[in-house]
Amino acid sequence: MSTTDAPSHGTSDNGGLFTRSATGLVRGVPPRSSLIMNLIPGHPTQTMAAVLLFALTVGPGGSPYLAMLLVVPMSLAFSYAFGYLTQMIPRSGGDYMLVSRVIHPAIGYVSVFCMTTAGLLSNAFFALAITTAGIAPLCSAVGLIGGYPGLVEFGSTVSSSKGWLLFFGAIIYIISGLMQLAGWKTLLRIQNVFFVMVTLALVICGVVALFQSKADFITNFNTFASTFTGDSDSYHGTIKAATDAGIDVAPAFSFSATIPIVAVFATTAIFSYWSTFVGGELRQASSSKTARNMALGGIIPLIIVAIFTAIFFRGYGSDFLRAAQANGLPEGIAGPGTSIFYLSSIGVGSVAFAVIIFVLYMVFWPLLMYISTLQQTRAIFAMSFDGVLPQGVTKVNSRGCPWLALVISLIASYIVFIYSVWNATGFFQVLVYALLVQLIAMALVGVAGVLVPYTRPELYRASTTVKSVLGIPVVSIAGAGAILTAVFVWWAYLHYDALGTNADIPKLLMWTVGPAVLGILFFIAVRIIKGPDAERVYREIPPE
Amino acid sequence: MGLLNRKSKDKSSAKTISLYYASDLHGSERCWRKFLGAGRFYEVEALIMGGDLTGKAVVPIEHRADGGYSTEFLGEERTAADAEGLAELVDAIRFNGMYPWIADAAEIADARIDERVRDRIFERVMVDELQRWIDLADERMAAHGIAVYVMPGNDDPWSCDSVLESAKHVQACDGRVVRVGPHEMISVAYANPTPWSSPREVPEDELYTMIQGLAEQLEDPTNAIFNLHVPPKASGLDTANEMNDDLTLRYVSGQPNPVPVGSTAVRQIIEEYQPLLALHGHIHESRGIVKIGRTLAINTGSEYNSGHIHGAVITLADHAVLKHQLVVG
Repeated sequence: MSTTDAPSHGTSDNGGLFTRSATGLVRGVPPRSSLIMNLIPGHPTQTMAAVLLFALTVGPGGSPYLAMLLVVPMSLAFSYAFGYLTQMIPRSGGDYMLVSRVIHPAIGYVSVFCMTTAGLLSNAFFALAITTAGIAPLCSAVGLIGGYPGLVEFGSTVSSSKGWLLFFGAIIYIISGLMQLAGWKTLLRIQNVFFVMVTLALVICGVVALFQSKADFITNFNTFASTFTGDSDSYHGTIKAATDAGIDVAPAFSFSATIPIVAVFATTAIFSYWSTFVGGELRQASSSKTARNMALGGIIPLIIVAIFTAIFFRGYGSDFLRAAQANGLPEGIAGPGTSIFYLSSIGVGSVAFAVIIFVLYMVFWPLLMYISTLQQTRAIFAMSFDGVLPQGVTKVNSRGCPWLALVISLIASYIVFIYSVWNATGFFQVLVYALLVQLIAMALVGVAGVLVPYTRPELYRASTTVKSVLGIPVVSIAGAGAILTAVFVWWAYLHYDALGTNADIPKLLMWTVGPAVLGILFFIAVRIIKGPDAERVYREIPPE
Repeated sequence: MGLLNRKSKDKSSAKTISLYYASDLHGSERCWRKFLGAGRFYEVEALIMGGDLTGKAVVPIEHRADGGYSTEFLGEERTAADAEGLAELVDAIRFNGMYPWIADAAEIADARIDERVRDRIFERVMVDELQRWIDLADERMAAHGIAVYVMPGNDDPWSCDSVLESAKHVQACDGRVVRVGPHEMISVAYANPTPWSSPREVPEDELYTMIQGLAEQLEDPTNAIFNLHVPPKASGLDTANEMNDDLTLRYVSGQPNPVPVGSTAVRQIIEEYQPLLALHGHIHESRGIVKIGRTLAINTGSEYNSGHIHGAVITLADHAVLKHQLVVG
């Protein structure tokens, strides 16, 4: 064929490859887009609002900065294990397929049942948090600062009333559901607005704490508190009361006390793998781009938390924060929880400020709930494609929302929420159960990372992740790190009484090991009922 | 029906044929071999390939003066010191649906700057590889007695047609009516316009006329299979991320924006003729099954670059789909 006869394929030299104009080839992807998706689960607000102050109480003398540093390799282990596997199998659809493909379909069901249970529990936690960490402290803050005793009483009531907890929880489920039913375009707009709002809440509080001297905060706090306590120095009174109650508010550094704090921070800091790789079908040039994005999504929030922790320690005093969290603020101004947002509002002394900050911050919980629900709807889809669930669950509305799968997910989660409320499972314990059961699934992804070079050698060799250190594949190292992290966090929560997890072992096992067992039983049931059809959905075809 | 097999209400219908459908292999030899292996694996009587067979990239491997080989593959420098290492490297490239091309440094440099040279290289490697595939299918599937129907897709260049037409056992089915067991099947490789201006794209009205011309030849459209590469518009089988004119993803609120990109012509044809079964590919991300009236429409999706073949195992009866199942092998 002569040169002039050659048909034009629109070819180009593309980073070492010759590519032709063909459907699906997409130019480079800006990393910031997947970064946003990775930032949401571990957003610093969640850590600051739900775990930071609690962490200080479980590990007196422990260094939160050192703890955050120690969480970094844990976050990286999961990011790289998950990221490398996702890079290897780009359109896999998450842990279910990764584990099924690399290990065994039965283990895939274990993973999906554990991950889904974690999602249901997480949603229950978010539904609790909207009241206990949102509405209740908002009412208390506004009521106390503005002088509305009725509002203060209401804030106290809602945080302990099962009826109000269920009511406001239902509201957030409805909001989260409506967000998703509105379709992807609208949902993403809402997501990004909420993300900015939540971040703004934290930034505003940080700026206030940065530029307001500690002396000014103390003065403002005492001025505010004296009206209710009759004490002209409630600030130091808070510290003294805690000290008198046996709480060490200025403990000497203790490395052993740092360990439980590591486990607490892991509760929010190791979930930065939620993005999926988008960018066309040719695997992108950089072998680590996916994993790197996920790693950044885990590290950046930790850095931000460290910075803001330093700011708030400086602005409010670490001894005061420890005292307020462990022993509470003086009667009369004590609210449900002693959040940074509440203290910031007191420091400024403005009702409007309190309203703005809390409203900006509270949108975080429906935001998190929608992110969490994506996993459940995806699992339902995957199971329907495999013929395990009815085809009808994949119905989508005119805006492209899988409404039936969504409704199923939200109802299932609301049932879990009702149980949590009625069973008086503690606010933090719900989050811990979610963490521990999710760690089973995440550890299985770690196992997949360890095994993939050996169980799927062709897939591994053909991927971009063939790097090794001392002859050991990096993906295996990351997988081993993920497994060790999961084991460590489990050990920490069972070992340290202050974390409260080992107080009810049967309940713990029900929510963690239970789903894993259910996954195995479900697989066996599917095999029995569907016969060979169930097996062949995932079995690899021997190439001709 | 979830835990139960998906069967038609008329359980007394006798099976007419069982088939396996897959699409969009894009040069993955492993997936092609799995496609051929699917016949005996799923115990079906016919294999249908829905198009987009050829790969999108050539990986130049430099044969160095010292006898070794080196290439930049997926952003990584890879080398091979001997034939065994080269074979491993070539396998890895083929696994991803790309074509290895071994040449010396001067030839590679030439190809980098001259599009005509690259075009020739593409033409040669694509045709050579496709010929190898068809030869394998002719040899093995004839021995196993499994019918094989193959058509190109919108991304496949015209030179593929002569390879398919000259096959001995494999039946080239694009643009004609063929029989799959007792069922008539029409096949159209063309797609509606895409941002990539692929070889086989036509405006919607032309696509409608093309498909209708074939449908009018059918004796019984309601018992027929419509093997149409592009899926119907807004069916749930055609959702892809929106593109800008410069082939970057269009982001809305910081996220890719999924939109329906299927064909209105295909949708209209299916609604008008209501075939028994509609098989589609083209949109790799939109794996799924929908009903359009009485027509069961399937897009098996694709994951060719991970070595997995997405397919569907379907059992037909007279005017009924007895069983259907999405599988990944």
